[in-house]
Amino acid sequence: MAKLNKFMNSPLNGSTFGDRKSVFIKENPYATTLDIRVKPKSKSQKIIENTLKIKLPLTVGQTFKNSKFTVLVLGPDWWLIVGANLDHEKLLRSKLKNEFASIVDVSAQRTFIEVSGKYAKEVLEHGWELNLDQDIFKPGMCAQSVIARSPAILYHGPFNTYHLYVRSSFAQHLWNFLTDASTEYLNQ
Amino acid sequence: MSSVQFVFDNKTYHGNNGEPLSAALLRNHIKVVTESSYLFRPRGVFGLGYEEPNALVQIDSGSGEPMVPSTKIELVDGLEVRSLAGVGDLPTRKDEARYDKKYKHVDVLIIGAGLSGLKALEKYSKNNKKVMVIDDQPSAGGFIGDLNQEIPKKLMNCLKLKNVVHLQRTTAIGLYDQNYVVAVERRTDHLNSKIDKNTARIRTWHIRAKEIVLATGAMQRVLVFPNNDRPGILLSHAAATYLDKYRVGTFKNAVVFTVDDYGYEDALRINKTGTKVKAIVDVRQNISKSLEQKIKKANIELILGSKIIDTKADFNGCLNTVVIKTETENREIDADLLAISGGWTPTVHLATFLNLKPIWDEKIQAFKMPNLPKGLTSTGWANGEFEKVENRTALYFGELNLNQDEISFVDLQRDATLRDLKRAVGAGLSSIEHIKRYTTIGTAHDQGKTSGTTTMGLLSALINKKPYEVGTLTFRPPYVTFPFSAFAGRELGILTDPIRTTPIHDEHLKNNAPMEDVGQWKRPWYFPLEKENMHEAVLRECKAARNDVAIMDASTLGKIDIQGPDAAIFLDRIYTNMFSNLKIGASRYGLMCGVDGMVFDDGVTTRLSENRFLMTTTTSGAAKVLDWLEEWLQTEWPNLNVFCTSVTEHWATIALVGPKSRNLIKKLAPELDVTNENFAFMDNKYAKVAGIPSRIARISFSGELAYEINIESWYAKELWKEIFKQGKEFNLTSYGTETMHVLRAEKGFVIVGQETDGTQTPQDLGMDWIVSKKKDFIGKRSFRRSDTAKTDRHHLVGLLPIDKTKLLPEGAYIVIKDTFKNKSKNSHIGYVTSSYTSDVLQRTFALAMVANGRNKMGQIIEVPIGNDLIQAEIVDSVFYDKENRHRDG
Amino acid sequence: MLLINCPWCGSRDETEFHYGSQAHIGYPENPENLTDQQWAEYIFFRDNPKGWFAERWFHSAGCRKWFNIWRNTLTHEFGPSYKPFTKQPSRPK
Repeated sequence: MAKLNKFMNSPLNGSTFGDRKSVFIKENPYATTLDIRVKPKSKSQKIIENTLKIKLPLTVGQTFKNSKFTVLVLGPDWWLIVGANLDHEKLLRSKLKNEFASIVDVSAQRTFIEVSGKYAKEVLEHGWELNLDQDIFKPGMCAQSVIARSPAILYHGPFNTYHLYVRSSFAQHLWNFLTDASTEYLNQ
Repeated sequence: MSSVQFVFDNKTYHGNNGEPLSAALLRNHIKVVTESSYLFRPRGVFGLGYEEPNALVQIDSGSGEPMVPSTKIELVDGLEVRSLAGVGDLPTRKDEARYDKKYKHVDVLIIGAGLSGLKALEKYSKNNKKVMVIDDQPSAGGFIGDLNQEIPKKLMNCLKLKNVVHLQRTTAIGLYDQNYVVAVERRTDHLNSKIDKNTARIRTWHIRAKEIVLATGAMQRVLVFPNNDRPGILLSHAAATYLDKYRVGTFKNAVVFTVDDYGYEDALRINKTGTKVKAIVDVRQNISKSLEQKIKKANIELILGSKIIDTKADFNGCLNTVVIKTETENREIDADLLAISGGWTPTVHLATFLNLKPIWDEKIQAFKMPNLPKGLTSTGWANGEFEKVENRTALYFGELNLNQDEISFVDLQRDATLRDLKRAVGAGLSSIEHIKRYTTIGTAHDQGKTSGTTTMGLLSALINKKPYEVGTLTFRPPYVTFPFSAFAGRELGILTDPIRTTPIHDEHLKNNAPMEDVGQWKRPWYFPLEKENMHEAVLRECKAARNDVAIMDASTLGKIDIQGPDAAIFLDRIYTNMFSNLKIGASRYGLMCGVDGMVFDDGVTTRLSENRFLMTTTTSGAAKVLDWLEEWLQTEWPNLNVFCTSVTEHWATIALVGPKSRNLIKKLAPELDVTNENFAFMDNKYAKVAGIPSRIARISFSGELAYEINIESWYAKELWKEIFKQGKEFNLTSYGTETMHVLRAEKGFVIVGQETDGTQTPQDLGMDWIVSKKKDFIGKRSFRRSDTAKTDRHHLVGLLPIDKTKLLPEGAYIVIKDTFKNKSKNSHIGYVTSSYTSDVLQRTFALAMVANGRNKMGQIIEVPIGNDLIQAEIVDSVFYDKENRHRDG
Repeated sequence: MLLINCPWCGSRDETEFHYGSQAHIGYPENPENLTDQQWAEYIFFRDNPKGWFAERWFHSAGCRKWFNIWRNTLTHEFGPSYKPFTKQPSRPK
């Protein structure tokens, strides 16, 4: 869908919080996102990979990244392609023809909260129950879990930069939680 | 050490910064800290840590906290506390402090930073393992620290290693399956300087560790004899530490009463400080020659084979005399300190939280750590590894045969005595768990930390059993008390539970709509104009929907994108009605049941293309339905090529309802053909609405002509505002969930979760029309079960109160007429599910579930409310527009 | 909170899962041919053993996959987990 910017509002209105030195939180809205479901190792998977020139890795929690797309593996037959647009959806449908795949535009389903800085990990550890140690949840990994009772996907970008993909209806709640959890670390 | 001021019971005193409050109280000669809970006997400091049963105080400064052992309060300038007898007060002012929690994953967690814990640290911190060390004292060192001795540098340095996380003032309060530990860190109470408001006062740690080392040490226990509770009677290790390490002075003459060699070490420490130890009273007949010589050298009288049998007090109630029974005589010695060395009990609480039974160790005369499962080890004193136990032979916990057993205290905090224990045994009790409930021993704030083993020892003597046959009390988390706010962390106020909002939420707030909670969602309840109450607002909103046009935010409905060549077959199996014959671009209302045939959820599903459907669910059923679909696809029908994706938040939905909605939508979407012929009921069209690409569906939940505009949620707020602007000329009125409920009830539409509670079939609801006879679907077989098929089930009916102004309360029960007053049996025949005042009917009305209700049309029933009996007539559940004339405008 | 081993995601906290009752209770091939008693047993009757029990769990907040796992109802221990329609590992000792 073509974007009509003046009519658009993101769940957090592009808010920012914190300072670059310690912890910085901001909303990165409007990333177009396709939800892909195909049987692993199927012909459909190959077609999608070849069409977009990407890989759909097979291990849950892995990611693939190139200049255009970030691909997250959420389940054994479930991927999120961030950075794709609706032309890509059409393209995929035309190439797939009758091969079975589910492609859903979920761009407005979630918004993206970036948490970065020296204390980013510490802030997340106040609500994220999985191990975030750098040698366990390495840069380039993702996980889907719960933070502050909200479902969310966490993607570890470059070192100390985390992206939370949160459902739009939960965004304000998670924002309130993250900004509250950061207060102890600000300007340190 | 700097001197600070503190207030105890409204009087100002001085003490040393950072020392335990109990030490400062003693140095200031405050021997009586409180009265006991039940007998109001004067009580003073008894212990050194969390085992303290007596000297609890109420903290009034800072955040305030009731019932804190003074032994665990670090003195800071400005501390204000007061004595309390048993019961604390919850501070009433708002607590400005912050609380939080944190998750931690480590290879090894060491609980206790005493010598044993630090030795374990030295071993485990090699090989770059991630180690966490927690300890409940202000600094590492444990018992060695109490002795004012240095821990080897080599060990202390391990705490600073990069792979080691080290926390003091942190108490493990719970140990759970799979090495899960909850610990509480006190972070600011000890800080003198102005505390940064942003630093959490207490942090609750949730720690998962591959291995856990329990280095929790041990606690001294109480000995039982008459008047063993007087101020001036302390555990010997505590007494020695107050005098030696904290230099409290206070006591002039001491007697040490011991059953083991540790009492001698404490006696020598006390004697060094200037407090004269007049005698050591030992229940044993013999001690080692070397020890005997040491005592002689220190000029302390040694009274072997003897016991303390009573104490006497001055006019303040403080100890001034001990009475000793030697082999030959009863003797009195003047003393203001009696230091008791009743033996050490390993601190096994955490392990017993896993339902593991501690092991009786004859050598140490105590229970020690149980056999631990893989990944859990214990070390040091916690494990019963005491150094001075060779000569520890006497099994002695107190005098059983003295007259004054009603003032021989076992559990000081509960004022529970030896007589209570004897009475319990006399009543025929022998299980320690029963005794605990009967006597209340071990049930106070301190959970019997000093009295547990003593109780078990006395009991075994009273019932002639071995201690291991008696067993230990059951300990339960938390190991120590701490404020509820630490449990809550930051989950307070708006962070208590997620608040889910629609993209139009801010607009609703601007329009002063009170919110209704629907699951975690906030939905506008009604939109009051100035000075309007809810009742007036709802009637006005209903009138607008029936006569003009009204607008509602329906974005909270669950939405699931269902794709795949087998999607239609799948929906046929899920829904009671047929979906495979639905035209592309058309919508259909569907009902789904559980395997038991009971209504599970409902909603409208639209066929977007041959192999793609968009299902809507109830607001609160969205997650449940998606899980349900996944369950069938993954565990029963893996051969169906279908995938389901939640798009609840991707799409926002704005409903325009009322006879003038066609005119409004025509104005908003000029390119759209809105005639009934070309845009019929249950059809979908794509068009730009106010310039925004939309899918418009002709769906009605009110019986009126209605359009639902679906847009990407980013556009919802601006579109809402734009529709309002353009709707002015049509008197566009916003409405909330209450009006939605009234409108649908007037039409007899059910709400899953309001008319249903998981025990209604579609037939009960009068919805046989939606149950397909042609195909199989989930729940179908259950309609033939004898219970589901019986004819006298509760049916959905309408109710019209005879008095048109009487509103039946929802949930009220319904009785047969004239049966309530004579209390006839079986008069209860149903209950009210929905009840409202209707603008269009100009009266009240209700929906209800009534036994065999469909065959009782026209009958009068009664609804008892307080002393009132409201009469109502059973009618059809559709009150408004039975012929659906309004549907097409 | 227990750690549960999802066959796809590994050990995750219990809060991420929904319980799905006894495993290997299949939807009857032809419900219409069953007696009321047989149908009721499919809907309502489940085992409740003391000890090892093969259960279904749904990783609802993670990969959203259903799987089976052995769990000891007495000790809370978990045995091996396995994907639907794969061979059931033998009952743990």
